[in-house]
Amino acid sequence: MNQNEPFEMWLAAKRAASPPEAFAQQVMSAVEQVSKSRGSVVKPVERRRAFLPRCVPYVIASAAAVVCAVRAYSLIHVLIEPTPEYSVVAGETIEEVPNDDRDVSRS
Amino acid sequence: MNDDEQIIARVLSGDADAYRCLVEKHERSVFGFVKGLVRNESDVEDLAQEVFVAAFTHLASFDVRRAKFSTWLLTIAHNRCCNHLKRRSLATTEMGDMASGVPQPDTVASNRETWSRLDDALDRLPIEQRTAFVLAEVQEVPLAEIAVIEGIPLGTVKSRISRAKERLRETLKDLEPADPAQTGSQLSRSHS
Repeated sequence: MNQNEPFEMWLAAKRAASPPEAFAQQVMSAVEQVSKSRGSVVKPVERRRAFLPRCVPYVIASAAAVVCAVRAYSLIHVLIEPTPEYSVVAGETIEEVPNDDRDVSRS
Repeated sequence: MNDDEQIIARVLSGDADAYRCLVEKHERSVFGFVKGLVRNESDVEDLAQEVFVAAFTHLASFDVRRAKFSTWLLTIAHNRCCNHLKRRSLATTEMGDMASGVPQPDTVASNRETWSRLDDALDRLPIEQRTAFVLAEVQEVPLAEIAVIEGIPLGTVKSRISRAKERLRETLKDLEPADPAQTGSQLSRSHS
């Protein structure tokens, strides 16, 4: 007697197991109920993860625009409003003091 | 991108009906695996359905770089079946199944007792040996995939399968009849 033969036949019977014909339809009915109750299959975390890479170019462009605006303001400020050489408060002027009089060493 | 990945992309983009293609492609594999572990017919259908519904619910978490979709599906099936087997009492379930089984044609009636004993022996195996055996011998899943499904080293998979086969073959030894000629005639009738 080939001892393996009943064993192999038993395995073959197990391998031949197949689902009922309406199994796929049963699954899809259950899936449809899940879809209705839970909404989209995509999780909110996944949506956020998909959103972030798309934002990066806009963030870089905005930062570059801010930098350009600050530099443009600085340039305009320099060109249009030059720094005055003297104080105009109350009409007073700062007299130029000769170098000899600036000697502050202790005598 | 293979067929499964394309279908998954369609489902994730909102086409839930596309999931039917995945179900029809993998239903035999999942159903066969669950049936190999759970003998109660109604439980088999329920569990197999739960596997596909769970896969649909968590489809966004499936990572194609880690495993194939079939491997991932069988992992879900493996976990569900293990949880089910731990919850259910074996004795009350299996005695009811043997009484309500589908009537066998005369050509295989002679093997009914052998198959029934083998089914019982399979049910008595430790869960880890049983799942490894069913995946390898019934579903014919590659050993490397079984290692991924069960989260164990390849060597452990091989040893579990080997021990399971050994214990099942011991059952056959116990069933050897006293008259070899009688067995030979029974087997020849089953092949006709």
